[in-house]
Amino acid sequence: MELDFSGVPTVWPALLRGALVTLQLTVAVLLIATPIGCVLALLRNARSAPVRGILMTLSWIFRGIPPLLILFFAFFALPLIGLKLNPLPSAIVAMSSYMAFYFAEAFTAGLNSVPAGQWQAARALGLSPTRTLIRVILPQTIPAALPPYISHATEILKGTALAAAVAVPELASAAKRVFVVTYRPLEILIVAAAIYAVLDAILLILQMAGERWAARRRRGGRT
Amino acid sequence: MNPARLIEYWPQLWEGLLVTLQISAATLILATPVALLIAILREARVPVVNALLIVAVNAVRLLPAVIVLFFVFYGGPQLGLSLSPMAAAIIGLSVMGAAYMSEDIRAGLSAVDRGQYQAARALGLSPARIFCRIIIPQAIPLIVPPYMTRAIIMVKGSSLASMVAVGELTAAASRASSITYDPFTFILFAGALYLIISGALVLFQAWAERHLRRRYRLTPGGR
Amino acid sequence: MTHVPHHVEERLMVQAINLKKTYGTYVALEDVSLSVRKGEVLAIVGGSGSGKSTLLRCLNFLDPPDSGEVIVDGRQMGAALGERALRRRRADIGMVFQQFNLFPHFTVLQNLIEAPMAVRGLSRKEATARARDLLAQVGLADKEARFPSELSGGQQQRVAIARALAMEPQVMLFDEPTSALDPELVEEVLNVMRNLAAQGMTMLVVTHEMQFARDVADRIVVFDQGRIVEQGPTAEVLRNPQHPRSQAFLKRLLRTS
Repeated sequence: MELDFSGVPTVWPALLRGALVTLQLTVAVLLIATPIGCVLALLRNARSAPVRGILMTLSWIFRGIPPLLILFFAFFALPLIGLKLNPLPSAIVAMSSYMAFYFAEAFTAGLNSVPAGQWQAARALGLSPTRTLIRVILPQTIPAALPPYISHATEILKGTALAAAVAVPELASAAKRVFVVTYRPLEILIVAAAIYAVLDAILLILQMAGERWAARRRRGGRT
Repeated sequence: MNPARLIEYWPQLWEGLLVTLQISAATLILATPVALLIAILREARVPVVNALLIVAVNAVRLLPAVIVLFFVFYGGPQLGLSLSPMAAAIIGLSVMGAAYMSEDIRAGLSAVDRGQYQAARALGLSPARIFCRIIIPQAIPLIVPPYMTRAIIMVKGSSLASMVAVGELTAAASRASSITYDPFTFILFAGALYLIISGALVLFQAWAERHLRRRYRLTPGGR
Repeated sequence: MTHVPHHVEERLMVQAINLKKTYGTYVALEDVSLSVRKGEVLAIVGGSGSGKSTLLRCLNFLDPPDSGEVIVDGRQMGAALGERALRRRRADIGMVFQQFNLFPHFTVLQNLIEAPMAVRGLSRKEATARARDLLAQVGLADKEARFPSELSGGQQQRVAIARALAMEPQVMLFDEPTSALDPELVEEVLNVMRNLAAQGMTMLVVTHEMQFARDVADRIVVFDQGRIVEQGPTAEVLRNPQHPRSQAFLKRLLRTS
């Protein structure tokens, strides 16, 4: 068997369009899920037991169900409740919903890494709870929360391929549409894999930079 | 939820559930020994083999699972390897699982104290015996928690088989939803089934960890 | 504590000739030679990173030396023996580690019978009988069914010594055997070692316990930066060290102990 990449230039624009949608999906989910995850993590520390209980149950459900099922749910259910979205926004909603809970786990771990003495010391100085949180606690959570946060973030990119199942024209579905026509699946898939690898590499570089930064923060912050 | 519809589509859902269980069991059974073998070969640090394994494992971990499944199912025939959807899904998901799992196992193996190797070698024990009698038993309690987490991820991952036309649980639920326009019944029901499966695995994990702790008189949180 | 009498034969038990060991650019052992006679107890002292522990690991080829020779009981150690033969020779050399390194998933008894059965080919019955003998010798006859995590550090180290003795070694290497112990547990381990010396075991002991060295060791070897800077009869070296490094080192040790 010989690989024949001569057909690739013709289909390159289609793949590139797919890669662009993949990138859009990744960035949108990142931007939406991060602040929601932040809020969820803070609510997890709320004093109200019912709130904590509901959040833990939701977190367990969203992280226990296959992401693909959640994508299907959004695809079929959102129009029924009056939200007639295109496939892409619908996938963004679905992916953001479960990623927010993964991020919340990372942030909760970060919050728990701050010693209780920090709260006590800040309160003893007369700082308000809000001020304590923003000025004292949150800056200290970042070093512990960042590495798991970024590793979840890299999962988003790989997860975007699921959106192919709900008619989002991202890279995996673009590749499939192309090779169904050209009958050269291996070549097209190799090119698609290479594009994913490049996108991965970019995220990986960000991750390493982030981890180095976090490690420095941790050393500096714990002396 | 609409129980009447659930009963109407029960045969398809039941079939889907069985297929999901089959894929999950098959991928776990195939991936575990392969992962163990990869981990051992990586630990043995044979020069060329090690480099090849590093590249292969990380290439697989870099790619979306959907692309790996496409490679097996659509790319296979180009290599003269025409597989049924079910076989392709099981092979693709096993490859993914083995790559991730080998890293989990390797982490457990290398977490065993180096002094254990030294003491065993000083007594004249052979490498094979050191591995089987000294290292593996100590690594197992360390490997079980990440292994079970991985197993749950693999059960969720079995839903991806639907992307290569396998009629498993997610596919059955989404098909029923698209026919009846009632995702609330079918997708929520399927989600509940997934949660029950992973719940059972979590219970098994708790039991296994308790059993191992008692067996080896381990104190919680380490040796 | 008084001097522990023991009989030293003329026959050489351990010879190390021009051992050299480097890790990358770091020189751990530089041209180290020493010999130990049968029944002799050798105390090895020196600062941390001076090469004492590396020497022990080179003697039984846990860490093969880059060059030089090791001869144990008249027979050469080395990779040339082949993997299997080297393993069997290694089993003739008992080793006790600072961190005990007992197998945590085995009971005390299992720790003692594993290697005799696997390496020496003893039956379970023979190995168990020998193990019980040794446990009685180190005063732990009632602990055979316990797991290491249920024992004190001193008890664990006594088990580790019994485990090494179960192979009926010709030489025993001790790598700072009491350094990881709480002070009140040190003496029970040293007593086991004194008994062993009195029974005529050839011993190389890396230690900071100067009282023990004075009571038991026939000779002292002082290491500094991968070299032997001084060696001689215990009393002489302790009373009148020649080399400035060993003077400084021994002064510091004697002050603290």
